[in-house]
Amino acid sequence: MTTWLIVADDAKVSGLLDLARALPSPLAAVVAGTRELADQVAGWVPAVTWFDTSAVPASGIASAVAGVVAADPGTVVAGMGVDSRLLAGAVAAATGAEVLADVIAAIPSGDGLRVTHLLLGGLATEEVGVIGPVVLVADGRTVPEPGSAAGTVTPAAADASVARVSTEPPAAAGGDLASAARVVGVGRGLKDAGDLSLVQELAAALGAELACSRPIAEGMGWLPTSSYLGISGQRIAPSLYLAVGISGQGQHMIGVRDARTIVAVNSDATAPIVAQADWTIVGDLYQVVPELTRALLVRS
Amino acid sequence: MSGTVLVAYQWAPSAQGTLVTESGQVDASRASVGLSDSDHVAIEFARGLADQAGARLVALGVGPEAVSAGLATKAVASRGPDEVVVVRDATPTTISVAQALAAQASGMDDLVALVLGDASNDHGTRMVPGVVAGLLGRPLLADVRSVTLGEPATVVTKFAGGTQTLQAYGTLVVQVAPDAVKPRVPGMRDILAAAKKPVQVVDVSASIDNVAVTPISVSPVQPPSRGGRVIAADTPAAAVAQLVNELSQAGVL
Ligand SMILES: Cc1cc2nc3c(=O)[nH]c(=O)nc-3n(C[C@H](O)[C@H](O)[C@H](O)COP(=O)(O)OP(=O)(O)OC[C@H]3O[C@@H](n4cnc5c(N)ncnc54)[C@H](O)[C@@H]3O)c2cc1C
Repeated sequence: MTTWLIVADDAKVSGLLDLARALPSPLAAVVAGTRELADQVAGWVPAVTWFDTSAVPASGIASAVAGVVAADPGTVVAGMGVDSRLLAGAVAAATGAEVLADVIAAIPSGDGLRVTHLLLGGLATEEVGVIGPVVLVADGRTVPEPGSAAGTVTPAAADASVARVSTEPPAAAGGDLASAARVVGVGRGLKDAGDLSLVQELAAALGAELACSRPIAEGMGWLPTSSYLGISGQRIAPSLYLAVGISGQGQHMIGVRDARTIVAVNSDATAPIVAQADWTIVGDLYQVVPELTRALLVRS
Repeated sequence: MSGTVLVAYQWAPSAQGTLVTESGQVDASRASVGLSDSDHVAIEFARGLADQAGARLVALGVGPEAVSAGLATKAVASRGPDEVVVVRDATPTTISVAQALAAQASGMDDLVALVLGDASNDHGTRMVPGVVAGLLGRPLLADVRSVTLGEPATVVTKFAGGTQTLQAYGTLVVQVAPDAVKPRVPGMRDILAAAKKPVQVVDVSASIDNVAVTPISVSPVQPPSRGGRVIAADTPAAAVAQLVNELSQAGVL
């Protein structure tokens, strides 16, 4: 038996390593990405099978990745990025494994595992006993310190059934939410797409990136889906998160809980965000936000 | 018409109205039941794909009893599918849903594409598309923005903040990006027409299961509480002045 780590998307795998190292079987990894990523992972994991995805998309190698794991099945730990999930899905199908997502802990228990995972978008945690093959999908969190495992990297190739013809870079070099020190998030308290300028001006005055709750991106389409924060969106840890017209549902707050300071503007003193913020101004954002923008501009 | 496009959906209580009591009881009685936003997008996208192929569009729902209610099937049919097939599965999990979808899909020899949304209303694990594709032995085209059918089909997906263009042969398994198309709001005519569309109800067949998952306990997650300081002032300007002052003193600004 082997505990498999599936790495695609990026090297943010500290959360995955924590899970995998708590399991008894020896660790091996399948990496879909650049040679550099495979070498990085070999610092933490003794044996790495590497699929080069510089010319083929992850979808094209999924069945080959599943074949590698199926040859020596065991518990699989994968991240939540889009490529990690599609590889993990192919592995689950090939090994007849159950899939548990949003996993936060797994420990050996009897013949199987005791797994704790988030339920209902983070509303609750559920503990389950699992006997048999399982794929654990979890938040990779951060890039670990460079490791000294000096693992082997074995290149593998696949008959890709999908070919990449071209890539097109992002249209506008948008700011990077993940590394921004200050972020303004806007929610359904905003009545109209035309009013976005209000929060854009606030973000500019604060030197912050603009983000939002899921409905603003997915339901309304006012901002790109890459800008929403939460369990199914981006998770960030800025020094300041300013939430404007956001109620503070658990699914959103998971994305910002690591912020050093949270400030909210909300018209409802009983909104869940009030208890989860360090400071709240209870008031109408249409009055508070322009005042706040002005006050910040005067200061600077 | 030739060919079939299948679109998967889940009719489920939304996690949003669902409560978890102190003792770990999950209470979905006040949750609204329906399609997720990403299922709306998937159905609209699949309608466009079926029109492109000159194919019929079959919506394929998996879930507990409520999925087969007239209200549910009509709501789905009013969004564009020609037919609705529902698979009743009392306790849907990622694997059981994926198996039910794969079983239906592999029973169709004229399948052009199986289309799925990004996440369902209830579980939101976002793992069903990858597992279905694996079960069908097809690559999953993930985060898809557009498909131009052909041999090969040209598929544009989100990639590294931009997009990538792929070529794929044969039956396509497509997970639609949540912002790929804007779903329609069904009008009166769509709703009336929906009542006449064929609906087929089947029960999930026992799945091949070599895994036992036993629930042990559920606990509500208490939102981490912070200072919770509320600034009360007579005017917005006064509240802002006080906030900016306190933030500066605390070294936040
Ligand atoms: C499985 C699952 C996953 C999810 N994942 C995510 C996720 O990743 N990210 C996410 O954000 N959501 C997610 N959601 C959705 C989440 O449950 C909430 O629906 C969403 O976060 C609410 O967005 P909101 O706060 O903008 O809107 P609302 O909850 O409608 O809140 C709007 C707030 O604005 C306030 N307001 C209204 N008018 C004004 C005004 N004039 N001035 C000031 N305040 C005003 C109101 O008091 C209210 O508090 C998920 C849901 C599910 C079921």
